[in-house]
Amino acid sequence: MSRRGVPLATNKEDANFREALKLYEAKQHRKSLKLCEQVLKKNSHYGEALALKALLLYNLKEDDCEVYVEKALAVSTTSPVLNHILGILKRQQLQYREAAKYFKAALDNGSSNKQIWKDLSVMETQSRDFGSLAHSRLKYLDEFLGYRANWTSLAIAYHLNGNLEAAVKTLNKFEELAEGKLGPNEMYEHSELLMYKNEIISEFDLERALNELESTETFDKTGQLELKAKYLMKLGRKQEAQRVYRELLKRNPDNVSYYHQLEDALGTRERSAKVRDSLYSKLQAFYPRSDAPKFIPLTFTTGDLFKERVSKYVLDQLKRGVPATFTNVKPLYKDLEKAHVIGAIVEEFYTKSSELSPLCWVWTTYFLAQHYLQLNQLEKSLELISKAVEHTPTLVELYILKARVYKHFGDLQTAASVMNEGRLLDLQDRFINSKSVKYYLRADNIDKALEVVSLFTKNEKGENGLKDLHMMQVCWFIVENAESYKRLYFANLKDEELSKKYAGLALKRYYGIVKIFEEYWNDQVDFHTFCMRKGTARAYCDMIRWEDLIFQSPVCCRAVLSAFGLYKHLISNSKTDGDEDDAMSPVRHDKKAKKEKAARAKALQAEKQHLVAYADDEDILGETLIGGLDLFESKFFSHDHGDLETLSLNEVQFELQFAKNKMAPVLVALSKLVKISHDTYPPLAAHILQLKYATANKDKITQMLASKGVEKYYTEWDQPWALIDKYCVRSTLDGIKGLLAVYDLKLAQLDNDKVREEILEATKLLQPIEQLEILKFL
Amino acid sequence: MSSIELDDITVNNQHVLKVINTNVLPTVYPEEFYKGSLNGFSKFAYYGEVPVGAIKAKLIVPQHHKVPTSVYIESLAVLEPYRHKGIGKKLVEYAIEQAKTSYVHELTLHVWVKQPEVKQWYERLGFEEKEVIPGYYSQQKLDQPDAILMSLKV
Repeated sequence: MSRRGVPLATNKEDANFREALKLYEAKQHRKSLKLCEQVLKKNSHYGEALALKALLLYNLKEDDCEVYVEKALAVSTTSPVLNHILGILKRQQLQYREAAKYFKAALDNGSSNKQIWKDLSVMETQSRDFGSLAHSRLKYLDEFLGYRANWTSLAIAYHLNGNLEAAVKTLNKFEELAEGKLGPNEMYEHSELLMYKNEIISEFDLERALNELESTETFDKTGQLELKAKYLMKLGRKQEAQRVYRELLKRNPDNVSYYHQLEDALGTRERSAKVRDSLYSKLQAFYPRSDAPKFIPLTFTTGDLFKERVSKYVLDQLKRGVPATFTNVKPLYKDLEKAHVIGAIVEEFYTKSSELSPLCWVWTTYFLAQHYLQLNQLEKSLELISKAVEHTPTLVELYILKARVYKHFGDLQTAASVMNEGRLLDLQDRFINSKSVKYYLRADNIDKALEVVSLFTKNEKGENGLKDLHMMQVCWFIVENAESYKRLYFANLKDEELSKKYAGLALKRYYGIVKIFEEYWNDQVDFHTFCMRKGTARAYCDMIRWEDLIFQSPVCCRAVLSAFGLYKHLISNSKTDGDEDDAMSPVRHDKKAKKEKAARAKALQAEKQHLVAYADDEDILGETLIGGLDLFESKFFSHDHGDLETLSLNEVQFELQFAKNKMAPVLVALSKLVKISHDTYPPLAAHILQLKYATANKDKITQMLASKGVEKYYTEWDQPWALIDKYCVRSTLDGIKGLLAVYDLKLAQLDNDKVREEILEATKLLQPIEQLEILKFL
Repeated sequence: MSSIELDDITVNNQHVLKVINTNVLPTVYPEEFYKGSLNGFSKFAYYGEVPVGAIKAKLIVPQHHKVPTSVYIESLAVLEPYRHKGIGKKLVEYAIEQAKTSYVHELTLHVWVKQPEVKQWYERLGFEEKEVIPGYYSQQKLDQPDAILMSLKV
């Protein structure tokens, strides 16, 4: 232990330090700190004690932690104990790469604590350093050969690092060692690992994987069959594969993908609709209670055959009064012709539906109201759904639809109150509760939304559910809440104080989403050991791959993109009114102003209590989040995303790097946007024009890079409208938003009044709610 | 044919009673009426799992009596499209049953004089007219505020 080569515990300081370590491990932080300080009083260069003090200060949430890290490192960088302690500290601070560095240093400098290999492996996995991981896992296995978890860990490490054969060898080796010695409690783990091994084998030798799969004893029979079918398909043995898929269908005739895969195996997808239809007729006879063989033919049949099939499908359900009938056929509405056929069938049925039963009439009316909503005939839809509500005012579903129709009309207040009427019918229905909360948020009635949502949350005394919603990671609420604050910010721009409050709150909520995803990321740590022990290697690997893309999840992207938009506006806004403020409004010192200010501060304090999202939060209103693009980047965009594969993140990256004059990443983002959208992303028009024309305030090299880079995408600069027309399809909301982005550039090279006119013209054809979304920017 | 089931009125769905009553009945009840819907006998009638009718009734203990003498039906309503299916009858039968288990031998209720079809409906179930009470609905702003008190011996 001692770095001075003195025998253990010969002097008082060493003994005290060792005692302090023990106290730390017993979580007696205060006592431990006291001892530590005693040691340091005698010897202020006792490196290990300095490191331990840093760790203790961090645990006691006191300042100066980093100071002691520095001090410790100034004494020694080679002491194994010191490095170990700093590794633990960095792990607690969630700095995984750093933690790995210190653990590694502890081992390299001769630490005899073999457990550090395990801690190191966890940190290496967490920082995705798979290259070093296998070595660490191997070292740990060498020390503790008797545990299967260690063998599994090593195999997984090899697998993650792409060393497939070594992974298989490791798994095989343990199987040999354990042959005949496994008890019944270990059989599930064994079965999982056999399947895991088989999947690895399939990555480099399909034939071998297939052969071994047959003889694999596993509890996961479905998984085994699915793999078998998959391998057979990959090997081109379709005849055998189709038999396996039929067997799978027997096990679960409701799994839609089995039907598609069966068709792939049979090669019927390219055949005529008639052939395929007769296949499904047979399957229907086999599985009369399954929806899939009835529905799938509707996707490929046309003309009279479609009419016949869909008529039976829809009317059967309407006669039985199935509420979800429309939802079931909605995917078919991509084909407008089919939509009209369905509409005609149901309209005809409608006239006689009331003879069957009042419920049948009501569900048919409900169906038609959804039908016309889908076809954008809002008046007709509203008329029908209102009739249905009048007929049976006790049916929750009807209110949901009626609210939706009002939403499409752009009347968000009425929409929310109709939804709430529905909610009152059944207070314990969580779905309608959430719906009405969402509608209140859309109508910017945040207080009411919180009141309603708090019926279903765990509320501490006198508090609303906001804290619980953050704790429970309720992303839909938090992001909608953020959006409503953002709208309120825009609606109150004239009142500087108020708009700033809303901006802060909006950013606070957006950041709340990002924090949730950071939690997801950090939550992995436990699984790097837990899953090895449980032997759930397949699920573990899925989790690793899922976590890799976690910051690109839709709701996270939405929060980042939307927060970015707010930052942009905050920045441009502070630029324009910053200097005029100082000149125009002389500071008022009179009593009245003081009083007003105090009253407002008091009111804000009271309001704050209802806005608390986290325990012990010092920045309830998100004031510290308001700032420039640097702040945005460090809070919202500093995660290890890997390659950006979503439109929204590339959009952010494009603008962020453009502002920073870094053309190389700008062009990468541009090419990603083109690639991901198959060159149809409407804002591309504005981006390309921006790179060509809006670089006047940048240096010469940047300008040149931008205009060179953009040539790959467009060269006909005498016809800028051709570019705009290519990306901005006028009949869609997104297309018009693309035009809006062009308009915002205010380019001299373009007749901006004409852009504005084009926007206004195209907007007329949109739904009222969409019109509002565009017009507020003009 | 969908089935008819009766089920309890609870704190979570008592608003449905108000919706049904306001849709069907000519009279308007104060909020306290609905707040009390959990006391006494009250049931929803479900038709194919949709609540379409409701009854609210209570035991009447007249002055100077210690035990109840009758069950009074405060409100009984079935949504218009769901009538002639035996739903109302089932709700009345429920009240009769409750009367019997409470050892009470009379059911009473009020019918508005301007709704002879309602009176007839109750008569078909065995109710008889006891008396006309002038001005019974005078607080309800009905154009003719008299009511008929009806009764059924069980």
